[in-house]
Amino acid sequence: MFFANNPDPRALSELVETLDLKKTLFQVTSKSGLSVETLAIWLWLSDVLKKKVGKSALANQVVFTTDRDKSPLMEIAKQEKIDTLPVPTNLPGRYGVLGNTGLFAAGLCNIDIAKLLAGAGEMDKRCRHGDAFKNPAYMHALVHYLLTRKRRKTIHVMFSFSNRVHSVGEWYSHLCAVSQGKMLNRKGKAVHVGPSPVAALGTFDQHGQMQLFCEGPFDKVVTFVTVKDHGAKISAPAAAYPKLEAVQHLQNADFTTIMDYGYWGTEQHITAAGRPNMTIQLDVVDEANIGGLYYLLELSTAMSAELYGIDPFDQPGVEHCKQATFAQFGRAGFEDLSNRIRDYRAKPRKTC
Amino acid sequence: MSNLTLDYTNCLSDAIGATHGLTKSEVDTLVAKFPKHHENVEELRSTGECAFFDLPYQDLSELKGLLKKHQGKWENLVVVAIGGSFDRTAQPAQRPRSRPAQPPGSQGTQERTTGVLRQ
Repeated sequence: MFFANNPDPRALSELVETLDLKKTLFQVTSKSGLSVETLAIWLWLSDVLKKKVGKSALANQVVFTTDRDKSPLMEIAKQEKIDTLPVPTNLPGRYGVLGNTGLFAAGLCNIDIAKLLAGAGEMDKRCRHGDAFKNPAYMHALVHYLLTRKRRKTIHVMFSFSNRVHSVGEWYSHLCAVSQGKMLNRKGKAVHVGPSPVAALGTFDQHGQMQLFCEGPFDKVVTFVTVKDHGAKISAPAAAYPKLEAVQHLQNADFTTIMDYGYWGTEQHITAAGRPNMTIQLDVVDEANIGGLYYLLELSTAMSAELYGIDPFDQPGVEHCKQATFAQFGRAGFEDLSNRIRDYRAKPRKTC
Repeated sequence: MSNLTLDYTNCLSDAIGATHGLTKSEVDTLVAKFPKHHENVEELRSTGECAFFDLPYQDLSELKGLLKKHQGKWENLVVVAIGGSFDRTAQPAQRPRSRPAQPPGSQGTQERTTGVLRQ
């Protein structure tokens, strides 16, 4: 599975050179159908596909996930006979992981999407009440909110002791930053709120960022995510190099144990260093738990926004940047912005 | 069945002291306001502004049909996408709120009037 999610010309060229295009399915996702980068990448890719595979490639090898009511991609889909899946008009892309956008790819990877949704539904039922002490989604929001407002912990780390769960951490960084990083609250007052999210991987980052987490500024709250059963069992062999003292303690070492020791040691140390931390524990990385985790984090985000008095569903800062790209392309209606950018670029710089 | 627990022991002053951890009183005070906050989140949910609340209950039949067409047929999947936005101006609440969303007593006290975005 590959992501053409940046208009980096080198990365994109290498992608089409590496892949056997005849054996590749393309999912183009843009709710609005207006994102410059997605459109540009798509136009280029469709040209490459027509030339290297043939005209029928588009109808056979492409799916659009987009707003069927409003997106210009629908016009392209009609002309080229491309299958489409709907993105509801009232679903911001970053909340779309459990919509067609995420589910199509998940389904192709043989993830049981019904179970994913069932896990999310269970979490919804579990958290649909105001008793915070019995509500993990709300407690997640509450504790982070208080630690940020009253103890200035403005950096929120999600430290996942699982490679698969780490990707949820990366997704959460996007969700958190775009949903909670807001200049204005709902009353229109400038508040400039929003934590700085960081996604870390255990035990990998014990050798890296952990140095900062446990000895640096007291400005962080760490949420560990741990897994009891990783879904695979491997161990170091018995009696390898019996004369080598350095490896004796690793005889028969189970890798789940190595992960556990990593977490327990890290949690103990970070707590002893006085840094606030919490743990989300999953018994296994399966559809029910991952669906539940995604939903918990989305609901926590909605509650955080409620606590901060902000709108979790808009992103005016992102819109400004999009408009800046439209303006530089000379699109009508953005002349003012285009002039401002041109003047800004003409300013002298200090460089070395 | 999902099995997920949240353990927040080490966020509290009992575990790490009150300089960096939260006191029982601080937590209890905000917990007491949560029935109201929950009501407001339910209100937000009821406006249909954001469909994520509904996704666990969506109909999968169209998606399943398309998956059947493609499952097992490809070596590679390339996802072309960027960001994850939402046009607020084009998408007001689908149903009106019964009252403005103003959380009780949780507005920050450090309100500034600087930092207006200059474009």
